[in-house]
Amino acid sequence: MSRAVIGHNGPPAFESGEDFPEDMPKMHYFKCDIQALRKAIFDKPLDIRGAYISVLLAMYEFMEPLPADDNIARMRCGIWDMRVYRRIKRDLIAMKLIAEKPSGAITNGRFEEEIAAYVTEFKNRKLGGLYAVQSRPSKPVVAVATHVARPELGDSYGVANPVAKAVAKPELDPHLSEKTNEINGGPDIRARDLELEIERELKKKKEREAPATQIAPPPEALDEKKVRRRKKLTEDWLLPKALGEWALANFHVSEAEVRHEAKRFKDHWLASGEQKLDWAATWRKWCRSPYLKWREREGRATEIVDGDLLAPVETVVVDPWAEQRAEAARRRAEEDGA
Amino acid sequence: MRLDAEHVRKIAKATTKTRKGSKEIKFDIAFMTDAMDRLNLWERGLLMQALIKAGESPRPTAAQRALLALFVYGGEK
Repeated sequence: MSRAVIGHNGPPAFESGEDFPEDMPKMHYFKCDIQALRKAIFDKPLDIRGAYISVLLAMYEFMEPLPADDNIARMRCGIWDMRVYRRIKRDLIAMKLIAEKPSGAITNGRFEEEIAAYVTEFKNRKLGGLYAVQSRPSKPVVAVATHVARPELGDSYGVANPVAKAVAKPELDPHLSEKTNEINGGPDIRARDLELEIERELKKKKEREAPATQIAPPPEALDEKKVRRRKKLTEDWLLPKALGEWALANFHVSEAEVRHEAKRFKDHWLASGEQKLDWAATWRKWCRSPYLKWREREGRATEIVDGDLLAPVETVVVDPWAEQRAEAARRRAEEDGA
Repeated sequence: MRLDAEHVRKIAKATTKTRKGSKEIKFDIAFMTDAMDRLNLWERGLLMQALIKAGESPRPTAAQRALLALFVYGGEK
């Protein structure tokens, strides 16, 4: 069950925590196979069970086998009596729950596997992140090794290569990938890692040095934007003549009523301060409002062409006595003629 | 974490199955080390026994779930 030394063809073996990458984070948890643990310790006395779990925890906490120095190992396990520790160590080794390395360090097979898997996963993730940055440009990266099955070597070549597995990119040219794999012939992770780091740094530097260029929008787009902008009603606003005529033509109202409503309209929107996209449409809506109770003329529904209503325009000059004056003039002409 | 539903969620998050079909539980190293420091060897063995029984049980009791939920790893805080 336990394994003191892991062979060179197996997962990577670590003698101490110093063998790990510097930036590798500490393990937060350890996976425990409940059934295996039960089988291993349930027929043992309680203190042996407690000591076994303490040894395991000490190894996981420091991410290295227990040191050969009994005093340090005892402290890490939280066992205060040296004699007790030595007895426990002897018993655990005899039960094959732990094993002593040639260096004298105490280890456990399951612990070695977990640590190896943790380190491999960390390295893969790190490299995966680097390769993800590299693979963004559309052109294939020659330095990237892809996972290609090689029957002549057995598929184990690709499978055993965690880096190749992590960076498999199906969109790369298969011919190039195969060739790359042949050239690499078992990738040198460190060299490629360094190469990729340098390339990434260069790319970052280039991005920093490049001036921030802003593409100016086409003039049409600006005009469109200008037209679409909402505007407030200004203090000097006067009802455009066209809108006054539109109201007279579409409703049974007099010019005085239109003038009065124009004043109300202006005061209302000046007071509210709202911005509108189309003031002509606002006026038309105002006139049709049921609160106003203006009666619409039938068959005279005409629309006017919208202009820029906020520009100062000619006001509606409507003479309320025009008809009477015309009538009086006609009568005078008749009388004169008679 | 005082409700049973939270215990269940935490345990479910920390429990996986191996290829062989056995149950694997992620134990929080820091919490377990702190707890072990307060116990003697015999008590540690008893605690492990309780944890193994709780982990193995197909339908753990509320007390077993609470005990297990204390020691399993609940993710980054």
